[in-house]
Amino acid sequence: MTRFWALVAALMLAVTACGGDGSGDAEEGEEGGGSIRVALGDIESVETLALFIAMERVRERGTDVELIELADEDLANQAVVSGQADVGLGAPYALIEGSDAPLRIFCQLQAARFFVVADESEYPDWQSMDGETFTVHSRGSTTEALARIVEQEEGIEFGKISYVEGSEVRATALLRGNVKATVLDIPNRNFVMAESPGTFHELPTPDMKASDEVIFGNTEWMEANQETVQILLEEILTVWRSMVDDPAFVQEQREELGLLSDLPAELEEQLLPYYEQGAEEGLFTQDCGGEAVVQDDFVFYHEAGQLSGEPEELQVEDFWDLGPAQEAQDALAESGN
Amino acid sequence: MAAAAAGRPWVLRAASIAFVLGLWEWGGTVPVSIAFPKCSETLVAFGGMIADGTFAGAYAETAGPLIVGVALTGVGGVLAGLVMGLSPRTEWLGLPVFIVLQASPSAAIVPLITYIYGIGFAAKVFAVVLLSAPVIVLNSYRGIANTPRSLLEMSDAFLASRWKRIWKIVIPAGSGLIFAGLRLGLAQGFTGAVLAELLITPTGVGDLITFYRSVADYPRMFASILSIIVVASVSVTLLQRLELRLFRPEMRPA
Repeated sequence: MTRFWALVAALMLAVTACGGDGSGDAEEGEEGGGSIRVALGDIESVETLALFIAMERVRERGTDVELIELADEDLANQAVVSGQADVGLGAPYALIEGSDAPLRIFCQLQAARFFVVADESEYPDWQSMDGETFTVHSRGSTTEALARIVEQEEGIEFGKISYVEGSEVRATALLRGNVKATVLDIPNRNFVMAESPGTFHELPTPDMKASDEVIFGNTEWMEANQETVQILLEEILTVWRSMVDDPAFVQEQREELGLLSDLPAELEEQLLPYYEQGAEEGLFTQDCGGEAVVQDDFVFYHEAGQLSGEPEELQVEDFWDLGPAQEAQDALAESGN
Repeated sequence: MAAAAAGRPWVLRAASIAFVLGLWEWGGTVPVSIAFPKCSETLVAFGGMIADGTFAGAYAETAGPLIVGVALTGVGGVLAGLVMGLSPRTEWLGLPVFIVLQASPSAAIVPLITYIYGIGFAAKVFAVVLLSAPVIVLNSYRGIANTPRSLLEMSDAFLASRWKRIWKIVIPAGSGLIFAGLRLGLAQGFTGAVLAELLITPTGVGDLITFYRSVADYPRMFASILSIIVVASVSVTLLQRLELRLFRPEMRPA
């Protein structure tokens, strides 16, 4: 019997130890200063290269940067909430609203720019999609929000919204004829158009400023590490502005810093076109967003089902901390960048 | 008191369940994480999802590939196990394949299915087959291969034909293990169906988990996971009872 209670006590201790609220880790960060742990819910790829360049530049300024790669965005969110990472990338609106998570967004990295690719012979325009199946990423995703906004703007109603996760999977399904109209990202739009020229075309999408990817941090860590946040934002803004001015900047920096050295040749070929088209399409935010972007996000993520509150009733300060981005922009303006 | 509890196993079972649920409630109160809801919140969400038909709709979608996959493996797997148990050449050829398949990391293999079967119904059926086949085939094989030698000698003594020996001796002798394989195969099939819904296309109960996680509705997300445990446990228990009734009278409670 004594053994049984010892086992129970050990189990309870283990659960408590595993499920700590991470405050201990946050304190560690406070003491260390000058270091940042970034949770990335994505694999290293052409799309994440710009961020890696910014992180290398942060390192050059004397701040330790640790990259924590996780299987998906939700895990990255949880890592930041628990204090196992300091900042994360994604769009944690639902997490902040639904659970009062101690997170604040401080910069928009990428605007939501979607490319709807459809079989040209079957769906020459949006009206021909009325009552038809439209394929998006998943329920509650930004791509589903786009579908809902298109329905409102075009006065149509899709027969069925079908869910297929992963732009590359949807691109393959499109080429194999499993789906006829779907939402793709830039690399996969280029891939589909190149693989089957003349079969597919793009349908126009609404002009939006809403965020596809933002950077957010643990509030406790942000408060205690304002200088580190400032350095990170300055470098992000510098890199983002440089690559819009000259998309070849990314390729040059990659070679100079030795980043993604094992990138396969076929992906290397996609690098420059991706940043050229991204710059042209306004993908890369030049000023971290600001209040107008936040309001667009509220509407967009409400439409996606991620935010349950009415957009006009949501408070910016409950989700964003706009101060650091403004300070970083002021600092860059002062330094003439 | 211990003797009284041993005499009534349901008391111990209820105490075990109450202990786990109590620990869960405590974990949610601490809280272990903001994404870890209390047991009571999850149970309320569970009730709500039954009442509003969320589970009915989701399981109607999940059931299709699961039933087809388990039915295909049930027939094909038992036949494969039978042939392997009877023919040393087929055993040599097939046994390593299923042993390797059983040991392979299924979560890593499931996404690869899309390369061959695309993203539709067939891919999900294949995921169910992939997970359930090894356990059904290997159990059937063991059931057949371990037919008591004395029974086989008896059939030889009575000059039974090969088919008669298989039908009257080998299959009945292995039926207990074959049925246990089917029961375990169903549990594995559930895993395959949910993995396919999480990793290939988000539909059915897999979609519920993905969706509620994305909108940070953790009580409903945990309720979805709990529902899989409940449905799988109930199905497997029912099959176990059927197995005891049909094949193992010696194990039935007096």
